[in-house]
Amino acid sequence: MGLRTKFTLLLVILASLFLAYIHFLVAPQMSRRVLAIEEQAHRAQLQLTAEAIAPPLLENDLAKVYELLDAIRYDNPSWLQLQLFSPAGRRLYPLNEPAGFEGIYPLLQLEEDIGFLQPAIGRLRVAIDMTAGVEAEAQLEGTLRAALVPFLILLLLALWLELELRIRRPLAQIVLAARQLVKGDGAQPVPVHKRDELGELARAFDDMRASMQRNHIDLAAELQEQRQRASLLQREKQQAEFDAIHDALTGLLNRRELERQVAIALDQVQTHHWKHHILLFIDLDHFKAVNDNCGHQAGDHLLCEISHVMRERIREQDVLARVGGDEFAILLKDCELQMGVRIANDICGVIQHHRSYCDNRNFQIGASIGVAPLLSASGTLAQVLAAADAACYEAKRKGRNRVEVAVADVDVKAQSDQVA
Amino acid sequence: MKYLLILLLSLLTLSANAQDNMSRPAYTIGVVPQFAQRQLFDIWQPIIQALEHDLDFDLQLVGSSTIPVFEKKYLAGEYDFAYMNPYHLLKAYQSQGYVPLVRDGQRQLKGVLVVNRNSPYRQVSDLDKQIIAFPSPNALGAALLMRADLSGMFDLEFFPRYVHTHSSVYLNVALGQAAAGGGVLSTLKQQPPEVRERLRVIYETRGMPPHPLSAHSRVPAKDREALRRAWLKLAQTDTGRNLMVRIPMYQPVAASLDEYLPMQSWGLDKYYILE
Repeated sequence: MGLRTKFTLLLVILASLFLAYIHFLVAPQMSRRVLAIEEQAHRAQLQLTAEAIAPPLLENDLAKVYELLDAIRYDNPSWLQLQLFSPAGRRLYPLNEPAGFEGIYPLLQLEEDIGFLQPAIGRLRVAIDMTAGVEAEAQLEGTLRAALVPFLILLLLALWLELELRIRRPLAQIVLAARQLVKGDGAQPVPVHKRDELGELARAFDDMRASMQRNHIDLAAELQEQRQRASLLQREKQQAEFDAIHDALTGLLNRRELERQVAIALDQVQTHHWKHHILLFIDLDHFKAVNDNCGHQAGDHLLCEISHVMRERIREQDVLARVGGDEFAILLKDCELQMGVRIANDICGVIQHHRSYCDNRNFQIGASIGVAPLLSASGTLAQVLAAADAACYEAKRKGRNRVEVAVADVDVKAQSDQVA
Repeated sequence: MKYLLILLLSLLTLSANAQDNMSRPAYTIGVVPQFAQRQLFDIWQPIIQALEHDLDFDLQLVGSSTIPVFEKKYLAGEYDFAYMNPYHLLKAYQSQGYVPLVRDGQRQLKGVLVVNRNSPYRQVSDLDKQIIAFPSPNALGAALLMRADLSGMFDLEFFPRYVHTHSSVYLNVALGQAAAGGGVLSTLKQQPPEVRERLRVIYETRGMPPHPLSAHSRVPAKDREALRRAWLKLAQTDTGRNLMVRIPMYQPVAASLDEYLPMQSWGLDKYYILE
């Protein structure tokens, strides 16, 4: 329910209460007062009558008494019945039995003793038709209503307008401005010119809005900065994450990542026995000669080329890592030992045929490759790595540029020799 | 200068007119206050205005509040003309030489004794030691002559109650406030029917000529006669008759002192009460 409805309802309730107050409290009291005044006037008139007829009555001048009472009755048409009684209770006026007044309502009956002596020299009794009094009372009440109701309507209208103009509309303006501000429009006018509390509120709102707009600009700039910073941090984080698991020179995975991947693969093998993964440990032969003769830069270049060559010989899912200066490792996933040995031999052959040129000299390098299958019985990661490393060493020891399978598996070793 | 002359001439003219008015003599005329002052003036003023057309003098109606005041005034000779009751005329004649000019020739003045129609009183003697209402002690027919008759002729013992007016007498009797009341026929006839029908007349006094219009002896005879003629002349007209009925004077005739003098032997002075 809006303020306007509430105001209207409140004013209607107030008006109803006021009219009820007039109707139930003021008007009846006024009516009683009017009737009381009317009765008082009749009583005073009756007293005057009693005083007027006392002298002729004392002298038994009944004609004079009749003359006075007739005149008084003529002057008071509402006196339906005026009777004079002797102290003995005999009717002296009027001469004949007066006509009844049944059915006339409202009726007021008054009595008054004549003279100040006791017993009184007579008694006046009057029956008064109070219709005129009641009509006057009704007329007064009507007049009161006729005067009050337009006044009340005007007053309520003025009150309504006052509330509407002074409270509701300024409030509605402020509310609208607040809503517009939420939508981003800060130009909605508010009644800052008003000198009351609402004006104060509007000014406070205006100040707040101005302050918010200023802060909004600052916040936007800061947000932009924060976004840039976050983006930078994200890139740095990604780089750091990349760097953490990659080799800086070749871009291949580093030793730590390789170990992690091998640990996962080992875990798979030991959990699911049908899985077969192969770890190749590759050590380049005669790489030191390139480094020494052509410089580290040429050596680094050669390492990158070799990395590229090896990458081309394995599947996407396989893991290639540089684990040392001229040492590499490959985790062949879901690969049988024979296939692994074949790939190792392929790589070995490719590296052997790779030619590196420096200062018009041709350098040939080779690769000693140790092959270690990941088996449920392979033991720990260190043991697997050690087995692969040992196989590589065995290949070097046996004349370099060859593939050697880890000695733990005799059958495979035999196959390896056969392949070699 | 011219304007001053015009002003002086105007003043002279005005004073001449005033002189003319003052040259017409004015007589006072008093009327016994049988009714209220206003009613008396209502009755008499039109008659006086009508009479003045035929007179060389003016008449100025002088009121008096009560009958005793009126009596004192005529006994002092204050009125040039006076309408009074026959007993007053005798007294006025004796003291100031008032003489009657005109009177009603149709009726005689008689006192009547009324009782309530439902009362057991049938004759005067039934009223022994009862309250009897009278207008005033010296009201001629209603009180003076009645009391003279009741006491002198019937030797009745009663308690008089004076109630100011004839109407009050009849009302007192009608309402049972008095056993009987003294009035006159003319006023009894004027009462409203509801009063009259409650009353019963049980006695009438001796008759006498009714109220005369009389003149003080100082009024010149020609003016007295002029007034008598004017009165009788006016009585001949319908307008005059209608006016005079209200006095009441139904058939005005010339009155003479001799008609009233026999009353002197009735011994009314004994019952006259000085107020």
